[in-house]
Amino acid sequence: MNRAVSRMLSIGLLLTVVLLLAGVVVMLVRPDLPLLHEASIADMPRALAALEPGGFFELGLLVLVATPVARVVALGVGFTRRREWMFVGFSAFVLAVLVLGAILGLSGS
Amino acid sequence: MTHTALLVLVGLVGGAFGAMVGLGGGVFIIPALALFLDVPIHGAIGASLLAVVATSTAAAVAYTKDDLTNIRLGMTMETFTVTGALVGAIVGASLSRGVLSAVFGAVMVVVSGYLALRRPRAGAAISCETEELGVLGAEFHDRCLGAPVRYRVRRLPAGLAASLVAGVVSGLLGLGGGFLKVPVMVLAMKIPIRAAVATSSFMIGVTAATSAIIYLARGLVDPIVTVPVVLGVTVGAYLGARLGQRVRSSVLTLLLAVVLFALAVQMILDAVGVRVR
Repeated sequence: MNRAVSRMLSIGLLLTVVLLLAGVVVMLVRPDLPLLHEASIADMPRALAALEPGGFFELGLLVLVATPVARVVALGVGFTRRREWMFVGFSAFVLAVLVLGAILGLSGS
Repeated sequence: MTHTALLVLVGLVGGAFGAMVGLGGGVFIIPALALFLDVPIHGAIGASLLAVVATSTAAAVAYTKDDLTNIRLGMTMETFTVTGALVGAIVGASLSRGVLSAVFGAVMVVVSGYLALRRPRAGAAISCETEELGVLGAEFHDRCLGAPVRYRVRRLPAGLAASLVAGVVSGLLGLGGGFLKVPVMVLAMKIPIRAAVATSSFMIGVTAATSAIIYLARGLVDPIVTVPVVLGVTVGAYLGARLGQRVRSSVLTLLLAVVLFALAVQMILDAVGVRVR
């Protein structure tokens, strides 16, 4: 299970680095494109469609924060396959609290 | 360009030290950005949160592959940390940041002094071959000793209580919570420092990710600051995790004591009104 978790985290991290570096390359090649000081998820689809560096940065940072959350889901699946029900419960609980925390945090804005 | 290079350097150093001692690196990154690179404090905290996720992920890639991370223990403690973080988010307004900083600052001075000065008994954390390791016990290969290390988890309730408190204060003080978990795992739960560092690194990413997504969604992350720091941290944390496995446990413990002392000084300054975080 350790190897699978390590592989999953490295894929998330590699994808993050590729997207962030793609943004840096676009920034260097097209210095005329706008780059905001505020990264917003809401603005990401438009910025990506326009191939603005900010779009790559926002997507890269989003993939980064999604990686540990995806790891919790993957562990839940792994423990289910091994029938380790106590740890399946722990994984589900952590995921539920994460989602609840994000909803509470976002609704407070 | 020089500014960007310095941001990468801050990430590199913060990530390397953070990964070696099981902390997120925020203790170094936030003051470095806010005090020396003129980054506004909210931008520094946003960048640091993303950096904690990157440190945790990059360090966990290395530690988990080498079986140093105790995944079952990590998941068990995580349930209490995320609960604490949620409690902290709800009751946060009624707790005084100044009082919390003063209390934890004082505790950290004592803990860092104890870690630096104690003389651990040889093999104290290592179980004998025949001892039952229990559900949460584990075994890993210590590269520095060149031998396998087996350990049983002691005083689990103390660890769970520390996880809960770490969760409550992490959001309030802008930290990952590793600063409480690593010493408790080493001192109370008798987990070898390498396994404690690896398991803490594994956990802090999840705690920081919740806050980080809120910062991202609210548009509080400045990519011009955050992207160079995250890229630096990713490389630094991976190298730190690799290097950490090659230095002696006593050196790692001393490094942890120094980092905790630096954090304690920041907390006490914070309590008397000097904000560096």
